[in-house]
Amino acid sequence: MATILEMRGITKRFGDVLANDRVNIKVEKGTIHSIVGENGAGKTTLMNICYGLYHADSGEIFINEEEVEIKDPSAAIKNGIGMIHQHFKLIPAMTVAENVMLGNEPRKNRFFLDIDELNGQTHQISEQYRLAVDPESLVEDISVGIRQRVEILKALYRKANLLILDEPTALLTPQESEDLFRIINRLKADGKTILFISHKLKEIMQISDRVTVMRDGKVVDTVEKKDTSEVKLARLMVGRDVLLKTAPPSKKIGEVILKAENLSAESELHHRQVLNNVSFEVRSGEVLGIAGIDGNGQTELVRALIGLQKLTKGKISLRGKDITHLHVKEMRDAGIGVIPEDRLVEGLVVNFDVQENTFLGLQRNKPFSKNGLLDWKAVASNAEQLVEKFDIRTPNITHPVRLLSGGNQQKIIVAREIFHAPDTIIATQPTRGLDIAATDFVHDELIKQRDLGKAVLLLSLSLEEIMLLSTRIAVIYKGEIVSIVNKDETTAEDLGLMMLGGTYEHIPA
Amino acid sequence: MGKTRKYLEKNQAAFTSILAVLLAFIVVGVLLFSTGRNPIEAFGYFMSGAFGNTYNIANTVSRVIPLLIAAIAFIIGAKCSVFNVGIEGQLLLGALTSAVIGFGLDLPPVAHLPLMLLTGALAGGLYALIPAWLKVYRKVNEILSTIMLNYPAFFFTHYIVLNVTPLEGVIPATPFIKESARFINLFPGTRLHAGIFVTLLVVLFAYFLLQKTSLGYEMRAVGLNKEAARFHGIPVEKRMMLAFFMSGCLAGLAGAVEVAGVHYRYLDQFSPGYGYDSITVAMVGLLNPIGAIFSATLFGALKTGILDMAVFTAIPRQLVTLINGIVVLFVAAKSMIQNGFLRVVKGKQSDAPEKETA
Repeated sequence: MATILEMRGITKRFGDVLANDRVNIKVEKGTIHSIVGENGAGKTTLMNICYGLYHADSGEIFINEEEVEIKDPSAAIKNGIGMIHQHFKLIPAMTVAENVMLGNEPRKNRFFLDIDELNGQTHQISEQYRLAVDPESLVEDISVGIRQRVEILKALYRKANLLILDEPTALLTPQESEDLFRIINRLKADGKTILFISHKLKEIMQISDRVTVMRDGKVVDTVEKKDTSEVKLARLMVGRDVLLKTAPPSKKIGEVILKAENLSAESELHHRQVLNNVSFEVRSGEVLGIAGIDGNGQTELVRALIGLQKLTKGKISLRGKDITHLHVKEMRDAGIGVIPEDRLVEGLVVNFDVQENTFLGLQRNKPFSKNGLLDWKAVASNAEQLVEKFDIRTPNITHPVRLLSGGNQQKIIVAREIFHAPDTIIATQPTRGLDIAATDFVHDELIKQRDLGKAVLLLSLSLEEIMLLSTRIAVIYKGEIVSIVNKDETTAEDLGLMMLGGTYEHIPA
Repeated sequence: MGKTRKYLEKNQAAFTSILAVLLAFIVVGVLLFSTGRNPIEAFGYFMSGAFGNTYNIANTVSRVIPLLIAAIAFIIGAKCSVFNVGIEGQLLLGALTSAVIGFGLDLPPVAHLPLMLLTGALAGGLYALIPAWLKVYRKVNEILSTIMLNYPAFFFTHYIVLNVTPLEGVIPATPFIKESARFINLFPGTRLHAGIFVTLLVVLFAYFLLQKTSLGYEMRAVGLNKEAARFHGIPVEKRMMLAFFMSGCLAGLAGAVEVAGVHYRYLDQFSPGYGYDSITVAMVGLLNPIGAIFSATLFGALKTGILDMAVFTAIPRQLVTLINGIVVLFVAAKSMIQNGFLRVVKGKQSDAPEKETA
């Protein structure tokens, strides 16, 4: 079989970090080739070099067995490479077709946009690969899964033969992922080559022909899918044996700790109903998982629970005490700890150092503050303890948090909130963007807290995570809790359907 | 890597600032040289004019006083995400108000001087509440509103001096303030006055507030990440209002100290743009109260050193404006200088200036 892409001896250094170390990779034409590795293994760096976003310090790239120089993305496109980034690069206010053609628009009489041609061409490509995308709908109106297909359309329109998909399933529901895999297989059948980047082993095993495993900037091995397994891949990725785990079941479920009754709220801007009669309770010793697709009221729910979102009605109580109208600080002091959705925006002050972040929100509490004066000694000794106990990898406690890895940043938040929360932990997307080791760490911590008798409310877009940790699962859809079920009495597929409001239709196979 | 290299890297911000100033001096030197003057000689006169003898040093320090207080005013705001470009206006109102208290009341010195400083500060602070309210509750960009509000302050003080307060002589000014409202002169024959101690207190206050108190911690958190601050129960709006008010108070205080220590009256248009210079001082001082001491000294020295240089070398005094401008330019281009600096220190270029280390 012909080789479509070969990268030889690629080395790339960022400061003191060797992101790619003499990487060799060979991709056969017409195959689905996956690259797996933990965060920071160098997958994305390698792909960005291939797409011309970074320049390798040394090494060569061959396309169709000819050496090429890829200076920038437009050179990559010329060489038939298309990249679908994890975060889409679309303009929401434009139609699908306009987005697809952007920069390459068909024209009439040189100056005028040929709208019929624009829609026609988009429609034709969409039909050819059965992407089921309407060229004329606005990008802001379509779902994440469809947006991703628009990105694929864009690459196909630019005549890409090699498509790089960077963590394409990160934001998709199980159904949407299935659809994506069908599309990928169709592309393969049509002779396209797919480079699939992921750290989800299950889907890698489902879709790939060959798998390249990276660790610490190096290629560890390239294997045929048929010769490997999830466990083997995991071992290669992490460099040690990994147990594909399931969390132990709740031991002792006690009294109700956090209780929400009929919470309703409107958005500030358009007075749209964002929460609609949301009720649930979380007991001591259990994890209540809230599953749902992004944007169905999860953000508002968390903000309501900590006093940042105004409620139009409803009641929140903690251990039977009404805390509905408390201020944020009072709510937190009452015993709620929060691992926020976005650690860089809400969770940390990244330009503060480690110790300054370890008492964010506690700056007026003992022992850190006495009569309004900070006790830096108490701050430092607490920070040292947390660093030690939670294995936060930092040169010292006065190191700026922005220079730490995502996993270590998250550990600071987890450490602080757990330390601070006597009763309840609200964890929102607690492992977003973390690698396997850090994810395990956070999961273990949450289970530990559960078994200590705390109430844990888990909100995650990853159904896998919800299934893994939850005792019970509530599904939120359009601001409503559609159903609350025991973990053991449901399946990912059922939950996925409920997350879509039960009205999801697969695109034809 | 070497210890020096680590040290240089850790303190890159400070070195970048110093580098910006050095570069400005070099550029000015080249300019002087290219117009047929001797830059080394000029620099010599400049240094002796600023620091050559105790008399000159005292005069330099007296110039530092208003700059430093006003720079601290800017820093307190900026640390809490408030960019108060209205220091000039607040300073004028503070000066005028304090002058009125100074000549209008008869009190014992223990009460008169403090009262005068306090009212001056309050005038500046209250005036700053206008852009503060606009910013916090009406989302009006404070850089624009404060620049604009400098004009009403300027013309209002001008009007009051010309039309309301009694005029003595031909210079548009208020009457002299009472002896009981004046700072004592520390060095006869110079303008150095006891206000320097107030200045040092202000620096200490700012340092203490920002580093040692819960309130200061909250203000800094707001300055660096409002969302995180709000999420952790810090009342963001209140803190910003407070920072704006404090900033205005210090600006007003800077004006009052000038009245009580240098002019002994409100002299129309007495400020050569202290409010604007203070922003440069604060920036070069890296928005750090201690750093501001050094940068204020530099800018104070510029004002006194240039005088001797102009007298002895026939280089026009306006050169000071040029140097000021060039320093501002280099400070604005700081990230460029910083990248260059890091490249030299690390000995290698990279596309990503910052990369995770752990």
